[in-house]
Amino acid sequence: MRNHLPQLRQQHQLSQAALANAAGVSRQTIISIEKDRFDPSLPLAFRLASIFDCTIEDIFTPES
Amino acid sequence: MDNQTGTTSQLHAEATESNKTTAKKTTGVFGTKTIFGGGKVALWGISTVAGIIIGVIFGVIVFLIRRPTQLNDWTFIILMAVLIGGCSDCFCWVTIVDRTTITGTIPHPEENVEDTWRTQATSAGLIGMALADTVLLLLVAFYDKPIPSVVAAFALLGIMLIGLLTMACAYFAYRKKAMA
Repeated sequence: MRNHLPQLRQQHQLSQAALANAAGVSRQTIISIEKDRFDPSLPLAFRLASIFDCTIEDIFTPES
Repeated sequence: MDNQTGTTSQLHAEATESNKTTAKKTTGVFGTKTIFGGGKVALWGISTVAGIIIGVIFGVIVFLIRRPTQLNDWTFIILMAVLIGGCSDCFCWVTIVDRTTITGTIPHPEENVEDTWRTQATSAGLIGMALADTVLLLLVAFYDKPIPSVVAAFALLGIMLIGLLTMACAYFAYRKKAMA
């Protein structure tokens, strides 16, 4: 999947570490998600959407 | 936009403050609680006592199997209990500690990319062990003499070590690839 996490993070002035802390995952997980190398689990996707106050579809889009 | 920033800032602030509070009061390097609610004293006490009991039971079992004659019965049992007491204490501690009270733990380890690496590395480790086992079986098939039990024990240990080494190398390879 593709994602808009880097843009959202910069928009909300959050560092990778801060976002990882808020989402309850490691910083490496956030890095891997942003580089499209790791797809988050559904609960994690919901938490990320909650942090940015948007829907999951606003953050993640299928590659096709 | 302002509302979103406010919500995010609030969540961020709450998370940071929560972590600070957690780090100061309720977490420790070795944990501060048991999974059934007891505090530090219960954690250390139960793991130590249970570890000693496991050590003594292990010593009794080994004594009944081996029946050593060079040492007094209880000396042997106590010696075995002391030898594995440290490991059994650690095992009991790992079993009963509430991991959320250990400093630096992540709330959802199963959702991290590191867990995916570990799973993939475990598969690689199993394959490594299977390959080492296959090679050993071939060697044994062509070896015509009786194999001492000590050699067999070391061979089994070697297979396990090859599996662990394969797992470790695979983990670092996946990690390096992800960080590239």
